[in-house]
Amino acid sequence: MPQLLCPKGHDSSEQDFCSVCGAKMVSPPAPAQNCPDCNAARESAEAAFCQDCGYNFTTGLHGEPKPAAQHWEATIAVDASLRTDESPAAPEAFQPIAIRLDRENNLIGRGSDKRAIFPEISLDFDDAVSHRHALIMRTENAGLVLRDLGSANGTKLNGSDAQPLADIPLKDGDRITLGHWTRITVRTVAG
Amino acid sequence: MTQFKAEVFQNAYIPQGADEVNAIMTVTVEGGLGLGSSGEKVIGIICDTSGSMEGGKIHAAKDAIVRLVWLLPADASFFIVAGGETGDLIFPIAKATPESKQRAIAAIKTIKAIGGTCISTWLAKALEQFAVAPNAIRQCILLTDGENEKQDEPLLGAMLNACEGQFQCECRGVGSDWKVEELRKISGRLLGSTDIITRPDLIEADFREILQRALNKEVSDVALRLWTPLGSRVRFCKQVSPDIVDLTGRARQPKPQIQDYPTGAWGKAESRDYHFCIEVKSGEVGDEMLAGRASLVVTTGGVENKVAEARILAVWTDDESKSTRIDRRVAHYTGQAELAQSIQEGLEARGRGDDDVATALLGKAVRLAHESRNEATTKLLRKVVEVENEEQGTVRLKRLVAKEDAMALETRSTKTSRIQRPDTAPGSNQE
Repeated sequence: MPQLLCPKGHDSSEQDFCSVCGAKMVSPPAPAQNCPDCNAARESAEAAFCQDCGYNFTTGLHGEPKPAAQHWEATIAVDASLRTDESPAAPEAFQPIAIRLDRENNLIGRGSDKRAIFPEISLDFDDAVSHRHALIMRTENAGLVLRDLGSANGTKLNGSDAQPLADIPLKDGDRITLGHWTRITVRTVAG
Repeated sequence: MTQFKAEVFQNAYIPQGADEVNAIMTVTVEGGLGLGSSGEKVIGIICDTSGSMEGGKIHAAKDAIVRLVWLLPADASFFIVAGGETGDLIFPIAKATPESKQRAIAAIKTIKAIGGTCISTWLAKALEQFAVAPNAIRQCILLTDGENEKQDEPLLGAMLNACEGQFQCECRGVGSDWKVEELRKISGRLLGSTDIITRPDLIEADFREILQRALNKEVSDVALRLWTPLGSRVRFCKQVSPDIVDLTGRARQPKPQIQDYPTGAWGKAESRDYHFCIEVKSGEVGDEMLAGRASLVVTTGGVENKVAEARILAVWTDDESKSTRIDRRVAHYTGQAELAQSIQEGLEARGRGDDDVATALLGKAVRLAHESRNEATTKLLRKVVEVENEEQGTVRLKRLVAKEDAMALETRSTKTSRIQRPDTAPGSNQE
């Protein structure tokens, strides 16, 4: 059996506790390996990258691994079927707009220079949308929640009324409807 | 292959500055035949044939030996020594065939009770016979009724040194004219027990039980090996179940830091408990060390086999809720040792007429036996004392006590109870 060195410097024939003094053995360092790419010596078994060429010992690539390649997107569309009798006619030929939800907080509303409101998801074309209507917020674990900010005409999530000032988790494909005939669809998108 | 299982029970947490680690190890035999056993069994019978045996005792003993011989299985070997001033090998070692049984019985018939008691010469004869089969399970039965001659004492000591590890010996004292201490010295060294046979007609049943146990043995010469770290000391190593045997002074030291304690032969499904108390170098809070590595070593034809291992740990902590807990098994066997000591010292005080001390100690024994549910010991105590309150240990010494009852209590004081499982002992305060 190969001799192991205990924390107090004894040669131990046992791997769990020193066979001389009984001290708990710390796991022996794994034998140093060379970088498979440039053959430079690896600093220690814990070193994640090659100090010379940046080879990643875990992934076998160079440099930092890319973060999980996925983000959220909101698509704004007009759905004439949402119209009620009091609503004006839905605009025709409205081209859906896709907005990438990069920020922590994404305001849904109608912009107002006077009141300095600049929504990320701007729905100026629908005057039944409140200036500050709702928020879509990113959560710690990369999810999304919807919060209706006490809007005048309310918000629906997948056809049901969203409770004002409550955070409701969103999932891929959820439909948020508000105003006269506006529909926002949230999706996760690769890349 | 015989499988041994070793488990350690302890509270590994000790406070800063403390240097004592206590642990109970339970060793159990699991599984079947094989390792370390040649399958051979040798039963040696030594019967006291001194003058004092004259009359009922020698007749009962002879009858019991004849019956025992009949019970021997054909594949076992046996021999018989008649003990007087010298050991007389009346039947040398032979396989227990019907033919040799006949010869043995004829030899037993010739036994006459005459002469003195020189146990060393008896053991010398047995030692010679057992030497023929060094790999067999070697079990001896020694029956006597009196004290060893004074001049034999030094010889007996030397003979025990020679016999140690060569065979195991169960000692039985018949009647009440023998000395518990003397027989215990022999059975202790030769890994057997000492017990009293109060009436000659009970000899046979007792022999039968010893034989049954011996035939059940599968592995002989098992050592309990204890490794301890540098700078530590074994305060004691005791077998604590089924009875208390202090092994501390019995260790061989094959290498520094290693002690080998003899445990003798083991049978099917046998289970024993050992208590280790190890003094280690005191550590700092957060330190964790191995205070002992206990294993069982079976030696077959000079080759050592390690068959089970368990670890005794020490972890220093400043958390008192951890370090003040005492393991229930450690507590139980510490109590059983105290019980045995109270009985022995109590009987000693009673013997020299110190009634106050005797009452106090035997009262304490009654309480301890009650608490640990050691019913066998409680029963024996009740023959010596009048119990007023078991829980508090209030007792009165009985005025008239049969000598046999006091001796039975003394010989069996080392029998321990096993710890009760918590679900079968709702009143247990060991938890």
